[in-house]
Amino acid sequence: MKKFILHRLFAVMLTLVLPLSLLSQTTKKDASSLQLGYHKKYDNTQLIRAVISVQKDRRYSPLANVVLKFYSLSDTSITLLDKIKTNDEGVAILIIQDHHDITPDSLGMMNFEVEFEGNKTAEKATETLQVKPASLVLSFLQKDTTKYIETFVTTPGMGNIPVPVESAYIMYYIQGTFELYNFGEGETDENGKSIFEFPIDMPGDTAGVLTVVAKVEEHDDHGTLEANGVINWGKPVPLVVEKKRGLGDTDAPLWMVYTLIILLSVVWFHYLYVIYLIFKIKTD
Amino acid sequence: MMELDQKSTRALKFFAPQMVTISKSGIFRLILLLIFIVGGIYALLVQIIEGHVVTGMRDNVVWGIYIVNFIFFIGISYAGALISGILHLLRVKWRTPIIRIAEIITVISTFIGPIYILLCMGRLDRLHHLAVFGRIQSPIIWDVLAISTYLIGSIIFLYLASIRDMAALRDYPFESKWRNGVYKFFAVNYRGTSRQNRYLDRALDTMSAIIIPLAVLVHSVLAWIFGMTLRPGWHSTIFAPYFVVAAVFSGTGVLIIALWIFRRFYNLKSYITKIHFNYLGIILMILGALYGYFTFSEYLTSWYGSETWDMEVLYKLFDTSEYWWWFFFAAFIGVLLPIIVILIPKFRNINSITAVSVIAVAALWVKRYLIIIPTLETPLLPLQDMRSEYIRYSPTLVEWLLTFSGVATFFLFFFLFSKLVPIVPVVKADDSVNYSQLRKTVMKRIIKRKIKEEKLKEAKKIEHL
Repeated sequence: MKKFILHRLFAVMLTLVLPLSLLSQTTKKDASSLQLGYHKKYDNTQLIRAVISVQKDRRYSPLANVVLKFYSLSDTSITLLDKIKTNDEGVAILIIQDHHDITPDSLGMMNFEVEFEGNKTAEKATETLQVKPASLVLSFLQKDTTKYIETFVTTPGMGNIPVPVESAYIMYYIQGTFELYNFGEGETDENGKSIFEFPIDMPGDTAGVLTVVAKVEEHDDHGTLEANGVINWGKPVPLVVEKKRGLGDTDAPLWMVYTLIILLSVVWFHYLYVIYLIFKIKTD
Repeated sequence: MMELDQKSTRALKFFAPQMVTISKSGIFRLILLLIFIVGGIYALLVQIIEGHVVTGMRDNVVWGIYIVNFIFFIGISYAGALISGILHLLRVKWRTPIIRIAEIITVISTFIGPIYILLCMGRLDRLHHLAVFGRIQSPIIWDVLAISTYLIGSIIFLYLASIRDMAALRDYPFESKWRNGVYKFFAVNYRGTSRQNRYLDRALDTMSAIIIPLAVLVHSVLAWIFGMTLRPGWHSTIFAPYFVVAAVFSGTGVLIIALWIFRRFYNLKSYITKIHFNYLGIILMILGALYGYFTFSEYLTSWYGSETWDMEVLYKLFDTSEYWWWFFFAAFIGVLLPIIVILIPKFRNINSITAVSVIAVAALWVKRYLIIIPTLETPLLPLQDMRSEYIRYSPTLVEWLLTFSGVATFFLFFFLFSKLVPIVPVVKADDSVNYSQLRKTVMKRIIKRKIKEEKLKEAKKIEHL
């Protein structure tokens, strides 16, 4: 009897505990993490890039189609700038526009906060970003036959007077059809300037024109800054005229059309001649 | 009314009654053929209702035995085109009993072959797109143009070679009115006058001359569909001549088989003699040797080159767990056995020549299978985690039923044709008359020219004096 009761008790416990444990397993959420970045493009467009991912089985995987809230923080207020859904890679980008109320704090820093409220599977996450506005200017110089690229990085100081940014790493690129090609790097001096000698054998387009891009990448204070300029310092590269074979085109190569017409004409001429002879047999 | 010589009259009296009657064994054979054809119709209905999933073709191996049958039938169509064309142009004396059978093989197989393409295709409702959106640079379009032109040419050739018999049958007292009407229409008022004979011979010569290059072109185009594709085992410069030789080889084999069948079942022993089998056997042997040479050259080049994917296909062909025994049959038995049997006079007789022809024809069907399937089973991208039926191909019952019904249709058409036109020409074209006429015409022209020249010389002499 005692044994029976024990067995019953064990069975009841099992029926209660098992669903609970399963429930607890299903309700356990994955830890989510946010990464933020500031990017000022060459046309002065500013954007905040947020990437959200969840940690699952010691691996980070992007969290797609979740809404991220972008806030601007000042000394006294918090303003919601926008709500943006992440793409398949867990990325949401806020393009800062004129109507966005962004007030720098007393130190001249722009403060942002991005919030993910969490969902059934992922935990809530919040991340802040502090950026000091800066600008990158690119110009071209030539001394005798030597050509240089000069970049100048400044940040607004007291009374909005530009203050040079020292020790900022500059990466130099050429804009290709599909991506940027790195060809050098430099560092700003105490005047916020960096000078880089332009290579003489850089291939350009047919007129030697190329687009030079300078970038300060993921600077601790200023984020990513970008500037570009177009110049005809490249080596002219003639266009490679692709030899058309016509096989993949709508129109067949002419030699093929002519050959086919000639062959078919020869055969069909003989057929018609034979039909004519049959007609002659009939009328004879 | 056409005048017939004694021999032709005798032949007409022999064949004409055969054409309107059917023996008991003939009825049995006809029923047997119809059973296969009904089986094929059932398989076709299943395929139409269920879709191509009832075949063994899948995403990877997209061509199966339908395409094998297509190449096979187009291949045997060579029998008529090349053999009858060449024999006619060379005025070979012994050609008469075999020429009609060869031409019928051409027409029927050129008609049946492309049907397999239609069976292989999905979405036949879009077939007209081929004409509307077809691109000239596609070998498939060349194939469509070449085969349709070839079929028309073969029909014209067969018709021309039958006009004399049609005229003889027109004048034969058949009881059936429709039969008389058909012969009257197709005889085109032919009475055997010298002018009509001249026109007819000229037409036959023209067609013989044009059908030979056309046949070569048709099979070359078929080979280029494979040869121009960058697939292992296909991309080869010798594919066109290789296909042409294989086609004539199989065509000759089928011609020998057809001769044997008609000789036996139509009692044509006095028309189709051992000499025809011997001559055709020798042609088969030479073609077999040529085909063997091409096969060796093809695989040797591929093996020596050691290109990765080509080697994959070769390993499959030489692997006993894959295609070795098929390959052995197609490349060794099917080639060497006909050569040995025909080469040694002791082995050479009507039955043995026919038997090796059957083996050669079967070997060439297998060879076409080996050209298509192992290559498609060797994709240029490695496949992982795929179901085996997506990589490996094996024909289904539906495909086999349609294959056998195609062969049955071939024989049924043959049977029907033999009821319309004598299977052996009854009115023989007298080639010697043509030659003597030609000789006379040429001599006349030469004499005329000489007289003219003499006259001119005399006139010049008189002027000079």
